[in-house]
Amino acid sequence: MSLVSLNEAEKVYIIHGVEENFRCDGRSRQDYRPLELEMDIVSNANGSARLRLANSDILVCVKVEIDTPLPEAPKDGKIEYFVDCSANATPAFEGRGGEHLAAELSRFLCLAHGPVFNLSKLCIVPGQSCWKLFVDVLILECGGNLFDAVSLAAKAALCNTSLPNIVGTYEDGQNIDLQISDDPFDTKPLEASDLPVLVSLCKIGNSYVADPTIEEEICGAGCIVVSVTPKGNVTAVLKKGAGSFMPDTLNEIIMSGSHIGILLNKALNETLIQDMSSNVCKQQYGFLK
Amino acid sequence: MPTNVYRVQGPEGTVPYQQYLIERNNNKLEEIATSLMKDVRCDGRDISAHRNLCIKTGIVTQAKGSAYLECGSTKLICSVFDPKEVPNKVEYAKTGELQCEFKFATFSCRQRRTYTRDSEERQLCNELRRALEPAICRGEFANFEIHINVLVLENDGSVLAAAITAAGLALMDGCIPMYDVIVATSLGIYKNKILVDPTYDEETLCSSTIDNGENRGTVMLAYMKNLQQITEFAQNGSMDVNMFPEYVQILTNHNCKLYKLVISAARKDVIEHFENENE
Amino acid sequence: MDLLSRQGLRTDGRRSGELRRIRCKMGVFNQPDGSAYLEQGNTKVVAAIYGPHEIRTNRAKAPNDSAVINCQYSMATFSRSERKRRPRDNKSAELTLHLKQAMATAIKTDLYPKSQIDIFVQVLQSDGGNYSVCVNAATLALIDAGIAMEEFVISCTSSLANGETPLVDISHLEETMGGPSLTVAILPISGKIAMLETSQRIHINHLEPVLTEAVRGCRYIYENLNKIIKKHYEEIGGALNWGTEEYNI
Repeated sequence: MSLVSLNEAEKVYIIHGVEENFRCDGRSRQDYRPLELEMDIVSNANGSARLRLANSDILVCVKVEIDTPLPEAPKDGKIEYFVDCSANATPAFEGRGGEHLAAELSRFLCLAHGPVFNLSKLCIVPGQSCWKLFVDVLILECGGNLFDAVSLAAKAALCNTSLPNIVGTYEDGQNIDLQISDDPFDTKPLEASDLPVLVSLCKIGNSYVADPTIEEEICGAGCIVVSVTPKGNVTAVLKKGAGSFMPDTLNEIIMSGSHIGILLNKALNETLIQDMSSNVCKQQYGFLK
Repeated sequence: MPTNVYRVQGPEGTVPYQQYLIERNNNKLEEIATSLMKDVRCDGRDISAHRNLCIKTGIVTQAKGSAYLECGSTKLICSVFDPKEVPNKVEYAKTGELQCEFKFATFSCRQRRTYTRDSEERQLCNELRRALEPAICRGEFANFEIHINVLVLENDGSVLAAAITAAGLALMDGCIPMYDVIVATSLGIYKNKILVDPTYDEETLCSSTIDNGENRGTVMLAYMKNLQQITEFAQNGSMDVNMFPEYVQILTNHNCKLYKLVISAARKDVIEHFENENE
Repeated sequence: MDLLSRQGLRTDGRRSGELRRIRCKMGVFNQPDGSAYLEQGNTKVVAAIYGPHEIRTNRAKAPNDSAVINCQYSMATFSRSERKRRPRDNKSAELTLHLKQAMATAIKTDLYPKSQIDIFVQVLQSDGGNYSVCVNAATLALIDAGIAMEEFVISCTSSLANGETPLVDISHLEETMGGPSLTVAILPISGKIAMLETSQRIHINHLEPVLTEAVRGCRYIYENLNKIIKKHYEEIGGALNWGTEEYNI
């Protein structure tokens, strides 16, 4: 994925460090790197969030469009995930290099959100029109642990999204014309606080670490990504890498993944609430900080 | 398998007839759900019984190794080709690569599938590759790649598990060095009932979104019995984390049973092979 | 709707010769060798430089005595008010070529034989003059990466309102409903033109005033960016005591 290459001595150093519960950057096995989150930074979108997890930089924008529902699900709206691994993140993504990872990320995000996200609240007129959400993820810098960073940013952006209010409808025979409020502040927020976040746990040696860096991902035998809701339920599990696991290790990893997920969800929700309450005269930093 | 976008996809403006059957399908699913509550499954199986398997190896003569697997009405073919040098490779790879292809035949599902690969097929292909990678001695094919193709002829649930088992057989048939036999089983969970080897309808029922806090979803696990290693674990749905040890236990037990079946099939093949040579 | 009101104001309230607010930050990312974020009005761009490093693409075709410059221009799917389906299409392939052409005029490629310099620009939000902002951001990122250049490459756009008044640094609205728009990239010290493009036909009599206006815009941007860069390096150098007695010891 990236252009980092490690020699044997470096790998041994990292593996021994993890064994001692002391990682290269001073963290213990269960610790996360510092996270920075900012909302509302792209004015063209209905909701946006930028998340920095140490060196990983993710920008997620949510755009809303009106669409017709699928005939097999007339009472449901639509949601589409698109991930762009831009060459800015690493030259390995240039051209079609990032497509494989992008497809995997967007598919897994879709699977993880699917069981929890209630599409029926995106319905406008059953069988006629519904909202379609486009969740566009842009990876600007890649510093390891993309799955966690992308899911956190996506959840933040969806929580930040608000749908325009519908003022009225005109019926013209079969067609229904919708009149949407022009006022950019006449919106209702999208309820998304029960969405899951992803927690990656990378198995290195005999133990496993949370929030692996690129170097640790290379050393690791395999990685389990667990999608955890705020209540601690698991909505999807994915195995990354070419390693294999003992049944007991797998159970243990999923257990501690769920534990970390609850804490991560709580931290994110607190940040989101803080962000919403300090809405008056909020200083916008964007990339200028 | 050709991936041509310009291929005619059927006349424009047609509507699949299934759309008029939504209500009937929903009624059918409800029926299944109510009978499940009484521990009765639609095909008369026990709630923890695997469907009957039919295994046949060496059916694609052109391929190095191949296997045909029938699990209830789920039918699929897997073929494995000789290790080949990776074309246009710049850097030397210490371990061999696996090139997987997972394809649903256009007629295999209720709705017609297209020739082009969609995101579900891509995901299944990734999962298949990840399940097989730890089982194959990849160090033996430095800088080489092995092609593994799976074609689903009929989809009646638990396709991925069936595909992994079939691929394990095909690799054995193709004499590719492996650390262990690989088998996979899947579970469906609906309202805390655990269904082994769910059919298509049961899978749809398990993955339906009803938000009442009850466990539901599907779990798939690929296992190497002798090494006691899980090579792939995929889950979807909404489940309590404390249930996982139980699911993993059930799945490994079923995989052990499957392992015996696969081994006996392989043994029979070897015996047949030598008998034919003696003649 | 008029592009220029009778009072001489444009749709966003600027005068005809006025540019949009410029804000930028160098070194926004850690992993690339150089990076910059530049915003001109509502057009926001990030640029990242990787290199000079060993040649990775097309090793056989690479020249022996100079560096290969490799560019990629992409536009985020959410950058415009209408959602784009793909971040890279034919249009962005064309702009990639133009970007490469403009940057190649200033980079001292002969100093980096047998190596490659990657310039990746990403439009995050677009409101007219995307290409110009990308060129300016790429220049900043190249400076941040410490790659030797003859001088800056600075680009600006201009257009014609009501068939007579040249407008500088045009927005998306002016781009779509206005007259011909002209994009020019110059090397501001020597005054050479690195790239020039017009969106549609333009009368020969109008070319000169429009071009002069665009070049004037370039010089203004150059002065601004130069100030920002100097300030940036003063801040970095301040921490290391550059230019003081202590540093020299």
